[in-house]
Formats: sequence, C-alpha cells, structure tokens
Amino acid sequence: MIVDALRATGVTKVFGEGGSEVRAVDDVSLGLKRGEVTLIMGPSGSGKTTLLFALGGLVRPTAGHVWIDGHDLAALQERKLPRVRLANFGFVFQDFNLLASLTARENVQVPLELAGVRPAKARERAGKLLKALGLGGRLDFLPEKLSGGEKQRVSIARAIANLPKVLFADEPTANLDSKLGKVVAGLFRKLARATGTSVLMVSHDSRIVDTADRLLLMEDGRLRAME
Amino acid sequence: MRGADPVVSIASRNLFHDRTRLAVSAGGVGFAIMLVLILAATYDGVYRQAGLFVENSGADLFVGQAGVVDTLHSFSILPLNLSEEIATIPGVERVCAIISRTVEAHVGDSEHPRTILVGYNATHGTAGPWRIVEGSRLPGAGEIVIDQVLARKDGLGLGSEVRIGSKAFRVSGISADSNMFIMQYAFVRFEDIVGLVLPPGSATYFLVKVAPGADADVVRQAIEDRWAGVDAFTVAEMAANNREVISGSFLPILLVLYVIGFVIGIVVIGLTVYTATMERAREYGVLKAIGAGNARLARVVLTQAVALAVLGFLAGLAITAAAAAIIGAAVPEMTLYFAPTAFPQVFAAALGMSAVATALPLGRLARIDPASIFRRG
Repeated sequence: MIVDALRATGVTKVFGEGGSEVRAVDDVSLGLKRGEVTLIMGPSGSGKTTLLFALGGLVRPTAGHVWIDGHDLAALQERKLPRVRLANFGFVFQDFNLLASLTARENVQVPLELAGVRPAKARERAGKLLKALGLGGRLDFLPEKLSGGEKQRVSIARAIANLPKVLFADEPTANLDSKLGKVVAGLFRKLARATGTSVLMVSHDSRIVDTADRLLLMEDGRLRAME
Repeated sequence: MRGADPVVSIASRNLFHDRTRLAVSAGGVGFAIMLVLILAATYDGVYRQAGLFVENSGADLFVGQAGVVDTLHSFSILPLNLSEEIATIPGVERVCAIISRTVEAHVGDSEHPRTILVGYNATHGTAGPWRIVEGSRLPGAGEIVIDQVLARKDGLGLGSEVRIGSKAFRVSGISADSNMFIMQYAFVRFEDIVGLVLPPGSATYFLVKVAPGADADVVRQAIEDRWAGVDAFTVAEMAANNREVISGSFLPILLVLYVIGFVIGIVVIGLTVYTATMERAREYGVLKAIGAGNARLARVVLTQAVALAVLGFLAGLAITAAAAAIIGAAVPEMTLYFAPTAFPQVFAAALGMSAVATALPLGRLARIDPASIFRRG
C-alpha cells in the first residue's frame, strides 16, 4: 500500500463574510504521494496559492483537514505549526526570498540549524548540497552577487536541506528564462525520485508540464484532474 | 555564522548593515546614558558633599537649638555661655562653639550670596577646613580660608581680599571638598565674626568631643535631658540629616530628568529596532515559513536591542567623560561624583531600556504573516 506523504480532505478557505464572502478554496481533497511531482495550474485568482498556503500550514482552513506526520494542521495550535513546517516541509518561492545578509551557504544552514543540527555539521552539509547543485564556486557569495538561476538553486537547497516530506514550490520558474526553468523543474523531479519527497508545484508555466507526474487544474476554488 | 545561532547572526548583521544609522542610534542612546550618568554624578556629588563638613568636624556630637535638625537649611542660635555648662556634663571632654551662617561674600565687584561662613576656634581642633590645597589650614586674625571653587571663580589667591558685611578678610588658605554646588564654605576665627553675623554672646552650634571611653549616646541623652531647648545629634545623624535635605530638594527634580533620559533611550532603541524589523519584515516572514517560531524570532529583536544598548552604553561612557571634563572647566561649582555603583546601575537601566523598547517591534513581529511572502495568485 502506498501511503500519502500528505492528505487533505474537504479543505475549504473562505475570506470575508456575508455579501463580501469569497470562497477561495472549495472542498478540496487531495493526497500527495511519496516521490511524486504534482503540478497545479490554473488562472490567477483561482485559489491555487491559497490551497498551497493551507496545505503548507501557512493558512488555517475554514473547514477540512490537512494530515501530515500524524498532525492535522487545521487543528494544530498556532505555536506548534512552525515546528511541524520545519520538520516536514520545504518551500521554494517565486522571488527566491533568500536572506540578503547571509551568504548562499549560510542561507542553507538556517533551516538545518533551526532543526538542531550543530553549526559545523550544518555548514558542511550546506556546502555539499550547494556543490551538488552546481554552486560550489558560489558558497560564500551574498545573494546580490548571484544570478536568478543561482538564487533559485540556493533556495531549492535551503528547501530540501532537512529532507522534507513535501516540497511546496510557488511559481518556481516565473523569474527564470526558459532553459533555466526546465533545469529547475528537472531538479524537482530528480529530488522526488532520489529522496521520495513529494513535490507540489503551483505554476502558470506550461513549459514544465512534462516534468510533473500528475497535473491538476484549479478553477474557482475547485480542483480537478487535467486530461 | 560559525558557532552562532543563525537567527542571532541575522540580528547582528541586520544591525550592522547600515553603519551610519547604527552610529547615530548608538550616539542617541549614548546621550541618554550621559544625561543619566551626569545627573547621578551631580546628585551623588552634592549628596556626598552635604555631609563632609559634619563628618570632618572632628566632633562626636552636634548640639543645636531644639527643632534644628541639619546645618544647611535650619538656623540655630544658642547662648554662648551654654558651652561652659555643657562641658560639665560627665563624659564631655571638650566643647567648641561655632558660628555657621549663610552670608554674602564680596570679592571686588562680585558677590556670593550663598557662602557658608564658619567661625571656629582654631585651637580646639574641630570644625575647620579638612583639606587644604594651598596656604594655611588655620586662619589667623582677619584671615579667611576659602574654597578652591570660589577662588577659581573670582581669580582669588593667597593674600586676596574678601569682604563679609563691613569686614575685610585676607585669604590665607584655599580648601578643597568644601564646595556645596551653589554654596561654598569659608572659614574664619570665631572672634572675628562675633557681632558680625550673630548677636554678641551667641553661637549656632556646640561641637562636643566625648572623652575616651565615654558613650556618645549617653552624653547626648544627658544634654537633652538637662536642657529642653537643645537637641543633640551624633555626627552620623547630623550628616544623614544634611543629606536628607539634599535628597528632599533634588530627588524629585532628578527623578523627572532620569525618566526623561530613560524615555529618550527607549525611543531611540525602539525606533531603531522597529525600523530594522520593518525593513526585514519579508525576511522574518521567510524565516517563519521555513519553521522559525515567534520565540526564536523574538531573539533577533532582543539581540538587536541589547547590542544597541551595550554600544550606546559604551558611547555614553565616552560622551560622559568628555562632558565631565567640560563641566569641570566651565562650571567648577558643579561637583560631579561618579559612584562606582552608578555604572552597573546605569548599564542595567540601559538593558532595561532595550527590554522596554522591544515591545513595539516584538508586537509587529508576532503579527507578520508568513503567507504574505508568497505571491497572490
């Protein structure tokens, strides 16, 4: 039996109330399998980012459940969420969101040390990870000295440093050219295969469709499989 | 970041990122620290000085008119012949009558309306100047020993003339530690001011020296029991009473100024840390998203605030040293005394400033939504 890394049932997120109520996510149920790359596409405002927030424990659903590692994120105390995110999730952002005052290696060290890895070990692991992603010559560069593709690879290294069960990527190729976009999407696929991490990507970018194992379409807060 | 908490490293790097702002902020905190230190030193200086005359009098008991509890603000007048009667009390070795009045001292065209003139019997070994920096400790007939602050203010030296009322005195000695902020002590022979500042046949206090082996408290009680019109105090009590006068006069004003200094420090630290937090709000959102809890992030803000308080304290020490030198040259009557305990206390106050100052940025930090770092789609 294949066990889902993450399971969501009946997830609904409503903003506002009364006449101004917006049902951003409407009764979505979804399972993310280990080692699988899932791509959610859909028009702007369709609710895909809100769904990603809810699945990643960044937004509490109005209704429904999100199960990860025995925890229901929808019911978990607010103060316990960061620890669950740290232990189970990795995030890759459209704008990279690297910490500007830290070098590439230090950016990758942060989640490791937050997870309790000793600084020397974290430094060594961060260096190895960045070298594996082709950034061996950029370890001590500040983000402002890196290209877009290099920044995104650092952010991927940061996201996977703690070997997360689920990697969430929000428009990971939006700020990259076509070639780099495919390289980054390919990295996600390799990671999923090599480590069993589930990858959930939210994107408009049709060029990366062929890297996904499963394609889903989000429209008006509802999710359906794409042909 | 080697060996350090990464979140704390982020704090220090954020703080040192804009060095100009850091320098301005540390300077601002430093000025607040300087204000508090100078105020404390002024208070401690006056407080300390207030008891020195009594403590260096060489007496064991101060006897004054009933109801008079200090030598600074109260006015005592007693019949001079009481001195001989007090001398008959068992346990009394010696009694020295003194005249101590606040008078106007005239030097050339200037006048010093708050000079504490002490007339004493130089042969008794009590009540005279206790630290001489120039000239003689014991004034002769028609001579006066003045404080060095008075001398500096008016360019006086040995041989200069000082007039008290209708009488002129020649400066024969210059004393130190006899400055009382806006007042300075001056010492003359008792007989030189009889009839000048008090009616003849009167004195302000009797300084009693207790015989070896006698109990000062017993002697005091005997004096008070015998004469209803007098009160007697030990030297320690009278010095404490004088200092109490200073506390009562100065402390309320100083407390207001302390609070102002403290508030300035809080505002400077608070604004600096708040600005640094807001500039990095997005990064804090990233840290929250990847798993740093509010408590962990609060350490960033606290680290910044404490670092700023420490830098501000160090800057404050440097500014205080410069200010003290300038004050000493420009306003010699302002006696600054930096009590060793003042520095750890002010340092603790600086840390307290930083703790209070973090309230606003901590509140803002707690409200940063990690989801806000994502693009809306």
